[in-house]
Amino acid sequence: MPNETDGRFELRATGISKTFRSPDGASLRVLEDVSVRVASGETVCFLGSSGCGKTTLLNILAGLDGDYAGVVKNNIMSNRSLRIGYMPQSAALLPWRTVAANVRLGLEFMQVPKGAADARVQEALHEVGLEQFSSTYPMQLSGGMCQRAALARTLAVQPQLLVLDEPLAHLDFVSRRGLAIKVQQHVRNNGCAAIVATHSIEEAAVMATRVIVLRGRPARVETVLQVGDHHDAGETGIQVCKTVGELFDRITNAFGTAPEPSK
Amino acid sequence: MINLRDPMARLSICLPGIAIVLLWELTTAGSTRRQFLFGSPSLVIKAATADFLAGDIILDLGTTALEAVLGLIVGSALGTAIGLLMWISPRIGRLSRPYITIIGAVPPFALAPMLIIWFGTGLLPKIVMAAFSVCLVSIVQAYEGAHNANVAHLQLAKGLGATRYQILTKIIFPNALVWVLAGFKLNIGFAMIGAFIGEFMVSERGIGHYILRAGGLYDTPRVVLGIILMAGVGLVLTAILVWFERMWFPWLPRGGDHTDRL
Repeated sequence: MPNETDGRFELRATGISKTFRSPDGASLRVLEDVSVRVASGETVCFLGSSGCGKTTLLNILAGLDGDYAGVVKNNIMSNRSLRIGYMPQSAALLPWRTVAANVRLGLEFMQVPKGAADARVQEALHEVGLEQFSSTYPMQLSGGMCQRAALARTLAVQPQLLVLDEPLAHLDFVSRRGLAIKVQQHVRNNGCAAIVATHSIEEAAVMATRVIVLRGRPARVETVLQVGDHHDAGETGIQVCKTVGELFDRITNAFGTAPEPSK
Repeated sequence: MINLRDPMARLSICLPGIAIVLLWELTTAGSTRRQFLFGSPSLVIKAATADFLAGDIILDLGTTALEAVLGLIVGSALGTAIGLLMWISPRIGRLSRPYITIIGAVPPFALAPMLIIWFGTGLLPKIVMAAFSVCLVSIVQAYEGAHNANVAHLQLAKGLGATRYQILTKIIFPNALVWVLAGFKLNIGFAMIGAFIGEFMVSERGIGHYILRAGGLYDTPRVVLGIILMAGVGLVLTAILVWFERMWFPWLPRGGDHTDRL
């Protein structure tokens, strides 16, 4: 049962199951008894192959899908009034808004005063390296830049819970690594919790404090890997690379050797 | 896509038109009968020079353009409002759909006598006629625009904690606006037809009136001149719309030559 503990945010989901029903009565169970706990400063990565139910699970945890079995609770407030930074699988930038206006979208929903919103937009754009493209329209950006703008929009709302669905999918290797570390640092510095869906082992290795491997249909929690915080201040680049490399091997082993449960 | 800054590209667009005009002039020259039936470019130019110097035709042009533009604005605004209302309230949408289908089946021409009885013979019935011609397309465009709002945008807004009102104003309405603007070019033609029908029924000014009068006098060159001027007004309005879109909606997708993509 979640409880109030020294201002730290904690989200717990217990026994989450989800079945999709088609109009002709057929049903498809996609999630089976998935439980997860994430607290301030933690990044939980759901790792699983495409179509295994990661997005469905994220939508449930973000409060976008209320039709599920199980319990989702947090220790601060109702899931509805929780400040969530949601980033869908596609960048979903509004084509009629400039990059800066897109980043401001969540702040407008929160009715943040203009001056404060502008400052936060600039800060978020700086964080993802798009400050020079603030007045550009999404149609003029590359796929990777759109993804970075979407990440800026998510970070600008200063969320208590970050929900990122394949956040680095369209990025090149260098940007992917850079932004994964940025997300990690943002979580640690701002004391928010993050839930990330990804099918990239490398992304999970860089970002996660805990990796949850989902497998099978319906998807179940196959393995939970506690990887800790491997980006401590003072670590050199080589040390970080070595740590991430080791994590990569551990996750690959957990992901690759786990047998696919029978349907 | 054709680059209009390229002189050769411009020539390739103009060439078929020049060829048609030349052919028209050559086939009608020297035959009074053919000139009576089809007019001729030289006679049209002669009539245009005389009428523009007299000045009356400029008033006719202005009148038709004013009727079409006001009808376009009023009809688009009204249609957009109705379309959005139908989307916001599914109940209103369900109730109004059959009536809109019925109204859509009524040719604007059939309404002209009623509009003259209600609004007299001045500008108003022509503006109403143009607005009526435009309204239906705007209703459909606004409704479809709202209905086809990007699911990812809606989910994002919900994920960022938007209220229903915020989703409407920041996601649904701008999306509907994109569709309404896309229908605007089509609606310029409909507005011109509406204004023309109104003038054709009863009027003292306007290109419709000019064509009707010229037709009554079997003055084919002036009928052709009227048709060319109508097309010209449509073309100018379209050019203004394109400029307006570029200035205020630079993010709108531009139409291009689809063969480029093959």
